[in-house]
Amino acid sequence: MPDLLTHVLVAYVLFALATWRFDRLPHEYVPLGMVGAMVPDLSKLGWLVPIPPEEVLPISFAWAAFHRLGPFLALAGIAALCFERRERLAVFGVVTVGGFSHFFLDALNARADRLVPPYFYPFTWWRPPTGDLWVSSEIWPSMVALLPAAGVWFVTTRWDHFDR
Amino acid sequence: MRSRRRSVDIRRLLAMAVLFVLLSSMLVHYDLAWQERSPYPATGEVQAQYEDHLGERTFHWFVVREVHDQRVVIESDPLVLTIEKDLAVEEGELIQVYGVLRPEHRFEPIRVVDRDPRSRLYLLGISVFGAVLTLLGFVRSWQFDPEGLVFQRRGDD
Repeated sequence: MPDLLTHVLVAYVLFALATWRFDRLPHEYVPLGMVGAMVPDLSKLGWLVPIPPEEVLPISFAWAAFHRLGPFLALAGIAALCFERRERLAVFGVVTVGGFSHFFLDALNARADRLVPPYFYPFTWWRPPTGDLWVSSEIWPSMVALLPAAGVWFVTTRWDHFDR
Repeated sequence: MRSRRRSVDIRRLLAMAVLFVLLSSMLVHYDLAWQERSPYPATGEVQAQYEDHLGERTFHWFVVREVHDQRVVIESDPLVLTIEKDLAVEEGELIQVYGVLRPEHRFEPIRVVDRDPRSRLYLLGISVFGAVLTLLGFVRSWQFDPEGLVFQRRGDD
């Protein structure tokens, strides 16, 4: 995976540009897209929890499954239900697209066996080939993402300024 | 009006509960199913019956335990393997190795992807920064309505 900052910056650029293009997408949805781009990395919580699940729970589970399509869609659904009825479909859509941007970027990561993990679980166990573009520890993806994000942020704040 | 709102809320809670059960089931099922579906044997299985897996290709994340000239000892608990090759890695580094299991716990690498050992701290720091940035953006745009138990856009009272 690229770092979380890269994921949220890419989502920020995507959704900020979408709000420019589509009047019906209000700017409040930009941070929701960024939240969606964070969700698959709930799988990394396993790094921070020192005890394996089976030691405290009656059953074991895989943290990695948070980074798979089915669990991600269930979480996006739960997230959408936390909003007013009229917003739910849009929230689900925006969180889902944010998450898809995360999956796409992670599929470009280098892996020794050149295969992406089974991201499409539970729909299929198919493992597509990796893009092999970067290793997760590399700094340059976040630096590259920072440039357009800064540009979009600058134009957005200027735009708001002139709108007033 | 109140009873209608309550019934809607019950439906919302029910939908959340269904999704939560679905999510939990997938987290548990994936753990069991991947052990069956993975093209590579589990490290515990290889360690227990090493001879049965000779010549097999496998892929795992390993921690570099020892680095010598032309010899690197790597571990993916409980499996310990030796790569007889000069690799540009450091002790404690987390690496991905795809390779072939050879006699006497030797591992013939086909491809190694290594990561800077200091990267974990960098990744954690920059990821926390990204999360805080997102959270701030969210809080600036949305607020929690304790009456309706929902998030609503700021200024939509």
